[in-house]
Amino acid sequence: MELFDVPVTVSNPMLSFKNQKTKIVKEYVYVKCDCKRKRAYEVTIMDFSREIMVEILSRLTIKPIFRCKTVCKCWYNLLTSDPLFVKMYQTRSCNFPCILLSNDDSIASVLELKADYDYYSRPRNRPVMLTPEFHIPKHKDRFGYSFDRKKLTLIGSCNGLICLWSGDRYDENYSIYISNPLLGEYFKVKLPEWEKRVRRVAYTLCYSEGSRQYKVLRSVIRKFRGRPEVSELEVCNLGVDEKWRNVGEAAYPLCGRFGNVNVNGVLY
Amino acid sequence: MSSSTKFLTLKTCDDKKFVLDEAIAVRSQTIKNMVEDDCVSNVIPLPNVNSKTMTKVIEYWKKHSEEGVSKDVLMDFDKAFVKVHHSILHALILAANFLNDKEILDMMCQEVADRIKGKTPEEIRKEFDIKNDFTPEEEEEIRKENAWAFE
Repeated sequence: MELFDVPVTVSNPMLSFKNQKTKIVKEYVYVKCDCKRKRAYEVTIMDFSREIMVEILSRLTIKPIFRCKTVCKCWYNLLTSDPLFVKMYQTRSCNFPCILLSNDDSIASVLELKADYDYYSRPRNRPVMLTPEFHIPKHKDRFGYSFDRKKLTLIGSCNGLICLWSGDRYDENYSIYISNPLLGEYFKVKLPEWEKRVRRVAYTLCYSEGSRQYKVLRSVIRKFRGRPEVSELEVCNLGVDEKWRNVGEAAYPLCGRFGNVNVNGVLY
Repeated sequence: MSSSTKFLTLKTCDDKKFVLDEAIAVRSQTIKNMVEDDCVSNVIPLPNVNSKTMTKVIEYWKKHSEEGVSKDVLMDFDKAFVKVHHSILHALILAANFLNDKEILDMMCQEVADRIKGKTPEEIRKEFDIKNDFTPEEEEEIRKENAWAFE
C-alpha cells in the first residue's frame, strides 16, 4: 500500500515546483520589461495558475481558442499541448457537441452548437469552415498531381476525429486518413494489401471505451471462384501494431459504406 | 433554524477583520473544512485575500444567502457583480480559488472567457496587459495555420 502511494506523493511536489519555477521566471520578466504598470500589486491574468487559465480558456468556443493561440507563448503551450486543457475541453464540449457536416462531399464544415447558439443568423456565417490547404490532406495521384477536394469523402467520425476516404470509390489506389480537423493533424492508415478477390469494401472509425483505443473497422466482401460471396469484418487498432485482424463473418453485408452514426462506441 | 448564531472572524492579508455568520462563511469550502476539522480558533487568517476583494466576496455571499430573493433579482445582482475592472475580477478569481468557492469561481471565469471571445489577439493582449513574446515570424506562422479563425 505504501509503495503504491509513493509515485503520487512524489509527483505532486514536483508539479508544484515546476509551476513555481515558471512563475518566478514570469515575475522576473514582468519586473524588467513592464514599466507601464502603475501598481505593482495589481493582479493580472498572467498571475493565474495553469489550472485557473485552463478553467477560463476551456470555456471558449473553437474560433476564439485559435485566436488565443497567438496571444503569447504561455497560452499557446496551454492550448496546444496541455493535457489538462484537452481533458477539460472535452468534458465541457460534451454539453454542446460539435457536429461535423460534409456538404456534397466537397466542402467540409464544422458546426459548433452552444447554449447561446444563434439559429437565426446568416447560415453561411455559422459553421466554422475548414480550409483545405491546412485541415485536410491533399490527395496526390501517382504522377504527383493534386486531385481536387471532391475526391475526399467523409466516411466516419468519432470523438472529434474524422475518417476520410481519399480517391475514387472504385479505384484501387485509394487511401484512408484519420484527421483531427481542428488541429489540422492527420495520418494515413496502413491498409492491407490489395486483393483481387475483394469485391466491395467499406471503412469506418470507432473508439473502444474498454481498451481506450481507436479502431478502424472494415467490412470486406470477397468472392471466391465457384462459391457465394463472403462478408467479413476486419479490425485494426490504431497506434498499436497497425495489423488487420479478421473478426469473423458479418451477418449483413454492407454495400460500400457504414452508417455515420457513432454513439459511445456503438455503430449504427 | 439554529438557536444560536455562531460568528467567525476572518482576517485578510492587510490586517482587516470581518465578522461573519458562520452559516454564510461556510460557502467557502476552505473555511467549511476548517470549521469541520475544528481547527478554528478565534480568527481565521486569509493570507491570500485583501480586504477590498473580501468585501466583494462577502457582498455576494450575503445576497445569495438572503431568504425570499427571487431568481430574477439574483440574476441581475450577478450581472452587475461581474461588471468590474479587470484587476478586481482577477483578484476575485484568485480569492474564490483560495476560498474554494466554486460558484464565484465559475461565474468569474465565465466572465473572463466572455471578455476574451470576439476579440483579436492584439485586443486581448491590450485588454489583459499581456506581453507578446512571439517573434513576428512565429506569430505569422501560427496565424497562417489558423487563417480561418481570423476571417
